Amino acid sequence: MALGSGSGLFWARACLGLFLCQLCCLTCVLAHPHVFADYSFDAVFDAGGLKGVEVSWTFDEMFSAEIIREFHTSQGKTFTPAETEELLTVAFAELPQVEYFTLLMVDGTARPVKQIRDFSAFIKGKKLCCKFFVPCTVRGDSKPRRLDMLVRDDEFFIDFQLLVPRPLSLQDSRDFRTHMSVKKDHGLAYYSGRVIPSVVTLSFWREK
Amino acid sequence: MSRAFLLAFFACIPLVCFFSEAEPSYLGRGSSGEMKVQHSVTGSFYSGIMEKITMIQKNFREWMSEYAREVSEAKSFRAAGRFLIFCFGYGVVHAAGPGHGKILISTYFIGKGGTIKQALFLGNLFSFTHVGSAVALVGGVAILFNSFSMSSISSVSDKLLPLSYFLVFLVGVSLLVQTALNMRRGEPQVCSIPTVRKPDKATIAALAIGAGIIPCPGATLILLFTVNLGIPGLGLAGMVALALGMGLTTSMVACLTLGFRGSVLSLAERLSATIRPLQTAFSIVGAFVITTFGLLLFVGSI
Repeated sequence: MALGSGSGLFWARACLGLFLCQLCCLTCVLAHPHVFADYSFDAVFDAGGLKGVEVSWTFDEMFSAEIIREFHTSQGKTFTPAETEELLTVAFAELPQVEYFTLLMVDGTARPVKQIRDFSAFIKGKKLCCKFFVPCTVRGDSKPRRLDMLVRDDEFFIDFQLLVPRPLSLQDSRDFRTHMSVKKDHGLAYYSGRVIPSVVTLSFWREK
Repeated sequence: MSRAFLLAFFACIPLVCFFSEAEPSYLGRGSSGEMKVQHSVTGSFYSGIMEKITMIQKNFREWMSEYAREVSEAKSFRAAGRFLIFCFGYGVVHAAGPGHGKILISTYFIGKGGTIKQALFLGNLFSFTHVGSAVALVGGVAILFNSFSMSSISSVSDKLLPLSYFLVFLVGVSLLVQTALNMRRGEPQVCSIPTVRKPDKATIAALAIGAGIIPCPGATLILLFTVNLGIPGLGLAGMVALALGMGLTTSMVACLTLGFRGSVLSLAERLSATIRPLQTAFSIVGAFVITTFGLLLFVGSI
């Protein structure tokens, strides 16, 4: 088999084409990020152990401007209860169906996020911030308990990014020793495996 | 053109290294919340690309917001120019991410072949339709509902999805029928490379409009932002810049696809007569992919 002169260029083009095909095969005519949000967690403890996690979102300025213009007609930086209710029922109506984009795993087992508490919205700078509390009771004892936390939009319409350098803070955890880490988890990849999220892991145990 | 492909191929090698860089991880001990950083090599090549593209888009959007506000408050021409440059750049990067019809366009050219001119035409027509649809949507909702509300726009936009997917399905069916008729007539299965065909403008236009009729949510958001800042003229100019940027990326993908197709068919010509029907296989597979794609998305959207 003689390919003749120019075979090097041929293989270069063919390999480039294969590379291109692989890239194209990874994409599709579906949603891709049009909204960007940073998120962080605040783990809340009580005497018995973990009480729950407060999740905070900060949206990009363009999306924030539209939400604020449409739903925040009062003065001040904080949405009123009526405005918050309208925000939840109109703009964020599908949040319960997507479990508020939040995944919590206790010792490797996922805890469904069906209900939240204390949803609030306010303006910081020119950006919309939302906070809500996810009840998640985990009893603390001498053996370390592990909580993995992640926020993601499976359809990748919103790109959630972990707020660095402080993605996690602790509240009332003085009775416990804690260990926190953040790392990419291939096992929790979403959007057809194309997005590998950063997972925040909190381990805590009661000092003897 | 051949040298360009060779250079592009070797340029991919450092890109592989760039996107596979080390990822930091954070460790902390105790309730003091002290954080330490450790580096570990994680992530895959493609997820690395996605992450970089997304981060660039995010940063571009931040700058676009900043410059749009500056234009609105200070009427700065310099800020307006920068806004348009970032709109163009955002379009380039945005189209490189998931979506924007790349798979449809690539599949079309794999199956049908074409010229560079047709690739540029399809890439840009698709992008301008995609962005133009967003402009029409914002304008239409404003006229019908006297409002620039995102909720109203989203509800109308959702209704266009099934139409778009159905049009893509129809284009795929049309391509399948064309291929079947060609096979039945016994037309030559292999053309010499480079392929020079009569322009199939009708099919190209149908595919571009069918796939592009869904309003680009990113374009909608940018336009709404500028309209509500009181600078609709800049917003519309930004839409043109955005469409040009998206068209550049999409056209490049189409051109690279043509190059790949040409290389594979060139190999088929040189190797053996038994793989000459490769061109027919390309046509059938390409049309089948577009048809299936359109059908699945249409069924999923209704």
